[in-house]
Parts: sequence; C-alpha cells; structure tokens
Amino acid sequence: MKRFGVSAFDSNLYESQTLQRQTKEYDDQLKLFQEKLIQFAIEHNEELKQNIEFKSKFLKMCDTIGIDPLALFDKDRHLFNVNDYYYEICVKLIQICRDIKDLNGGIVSLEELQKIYFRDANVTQADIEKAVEMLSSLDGGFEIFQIRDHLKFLRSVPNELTSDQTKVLEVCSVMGYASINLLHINLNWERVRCKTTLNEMITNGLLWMDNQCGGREILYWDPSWITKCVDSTTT
Amino acid sequence: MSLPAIYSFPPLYTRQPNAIIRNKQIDSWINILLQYSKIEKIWELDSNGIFLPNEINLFENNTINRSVNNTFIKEILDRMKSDHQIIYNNNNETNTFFILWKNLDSWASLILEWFETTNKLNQVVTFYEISSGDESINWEFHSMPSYLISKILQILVKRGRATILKDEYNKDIAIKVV
Repeated sequence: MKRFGVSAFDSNLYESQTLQRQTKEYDDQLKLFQEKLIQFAIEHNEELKQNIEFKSKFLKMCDTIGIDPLALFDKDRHLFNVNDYYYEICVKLIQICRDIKDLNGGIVSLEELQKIYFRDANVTQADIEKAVEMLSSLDGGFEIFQIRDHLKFLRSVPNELTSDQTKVLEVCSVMGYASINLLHINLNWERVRCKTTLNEMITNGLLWMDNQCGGREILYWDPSWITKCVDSTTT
Repeated sequence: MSLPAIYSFPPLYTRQPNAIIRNKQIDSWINILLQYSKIEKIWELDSNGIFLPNEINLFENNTINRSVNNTFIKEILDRMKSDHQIIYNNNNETNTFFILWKNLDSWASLILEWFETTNKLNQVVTFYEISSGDESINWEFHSMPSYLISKILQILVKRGRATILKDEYNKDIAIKVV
C-alpha cells in the first residue's frame, strides 16, 4: 500500500522494535528461570528422590513452564533415579514413532531419531537403544535392526521386514531412492523380484513413489530423505 | 520465505498410491499453502491452486523439475474446501477461492479485538479503514480484500455485536460495532 505525507515514513518501525526487544527480554527471563529450576533439581536431588509427592509436584511445575523432563535428568550423576531418565526417553520414543508413522511406515534410523527428534535433548544413540530394550517388555513391537553393518533402524510397527526389503532400504540409504533398474543392476535381482519388493514397500508405506524423473522409470524414495535434507541445511 | 524441507522431496509431486501416505501427503500440501499465504499475506487462489494476484504457483517446483497435476490439485483443494480452509469467492464470475489460514470465527474475533483496542466501538467504520487504514497496519487482517471482510463481519452481525451499512448500490461498505 502506498502511504503519503508523514505516514510514508515507516511509523511502526519503532513500535515493532520495542515489541521485539520486550519479547526477547521475556524469553531471556524465562530461560534464566528454567536454568535455575534445573539447577535446583540438581542441588536437591536427594530430597526429590525420596519425597515422591515433592517430586511429582516439581515435575508438574517444570512441565507447565516448558522444561523438557529430559533436561532434568543427568544420567551420569544419577539425578532422581537413573531409570527415570530412560523412562522419559521411552515415552518420547513412543510419541515420536506415533507421530511419524504415517510418513515413513514406522521405520526410522537411530541417527535420524537422535539428530532430528531428540535434537535438543542430550541423548545418545546408545541411550535410545537402551530405552528400546526397556520397551521390549511391553511387547509393543519396537525393534532395532541393522543394515550395511553400521546403520541402525528402529521399527515401531509389528510387520517384520523381509530381507529383500532390508536390502532396498540399504540402497535407499546411499542414493535416497531405489528403482527397478537400480536393484537389478546392483543386487542382480530378476526384474519381477525388484518390482514385487518395491510394491510391497509402497503398500506398507515405507517408500514414496515419484513418476516424474524425466520420463525414465519410476523412482521409489525413502522418506527419511526429508529430514536428512533438514539436517544438511542446518549444520 | 523458506518452505519446509518436504517441499523439495520429489515424490511429494506424485499422487501417492498408498491411502495413508496420501493423506499425509495432502496434509503436507495444505500446510505448505497455508504457511505460505500467511507469511506472504496472500488472500486468494484460483481453481488450479495458483495464488492471486501475482500468479504464484507453488505446485510447480522448477528447482527439482516436478509439478503436481491438475487432478491431484483438485483433490487437495477439495479437502481444503471440506475443512473450510478455502471458501468460494462468490463476489465475482471467475472461479476463485479465499484462503483462510485462520478460520472465519477467529478472524471475526480478531477484528472485534481491533475495534475494542482502538476505541472504535459505537462508531461507523468503513471496510476500507479496517483493511487499509493506518490503524490496522500491525494487524494480521491488514490488506484483506473488503469482500472477505464483509463476509467475516457477518459473523459479528450474527453474534448481535454489529450492524452493517450499505451504500447507494446496496453494497456493504461500513459497520458499526457495539
């Protein structure tokens, strides 16, 4: 919109700066308060551990003010109870897997979990593995499997992957996608075997189809590509 | 503005055969459209999903050489229609939609808040002042087309908070909020 006279000068510049400054001040204050709370939790660890009511009220307060429970636990110093830390990871894992199941068919790499979904928490891949182990007693179908000898994946849906499907995921972890030709050439599979496996994975929601690759064959993409892309732009 | 990472994911532009995934895919598209229109303050799109008036077409991504075909765009827009995220602009002959990154009720409440904070209760205020006046510059509804404003203000009329005034051509032009 064109403005005339005095209003042609950016009159709200000053206002918006003030607003920004205030917001920043609030943010800083909140952060400081959060830090103090965490400090408090570390100092009064013993009391918190022993007095259950105190502990639950304290945790509730932290939750209200926006502190991730994971930030309160220090696994090396046995803050609260060391298992509490892993229970929190378990809860988070279930939440995350439920949220992203429709996007990736329930298969997610530990690396992606740690780097993207546990980004702000100080959690290692080993911690995640331990939490998954604890979850196994619930019989919820959480399982870790490995491809290319070093990439670990978490499966949160009950259908087991066939070895062919695992091989396709291996190819995807290198290229971002797979295709009938790609599998045929690299794995020496018959075309019909490539096709069946890829179609199964589409049905299970593990791969996304792309038929616009310059008129060549259909590409089958691994949705973890999306977060990998986030990762490479932010780091 | 930067679009979410999934916008560069090539299969996003092909209609997915798996219904659950497709649902998620349509969600992602709606999310992209709403986010973009909110940040760029775009109010209208045509029946092919092209943003007006600058004809920005998010469904075509030249960077990765992918585009969504018209049938699938229709499917996405149909979902938005049934979820009231777009509504017909029945003000003109052409087949266009208003895009609502907030629903009509929230817009109505926001405009009501503006009336209250700028002390405009009990006076006649034109639609032009609401959408283009200096006093609404920092408000999200600034630059909203006046026909959409009049649609939203009908809600305040229904809530019994306002009366609409018409000009000599029987067109809504101003409102008084009590």
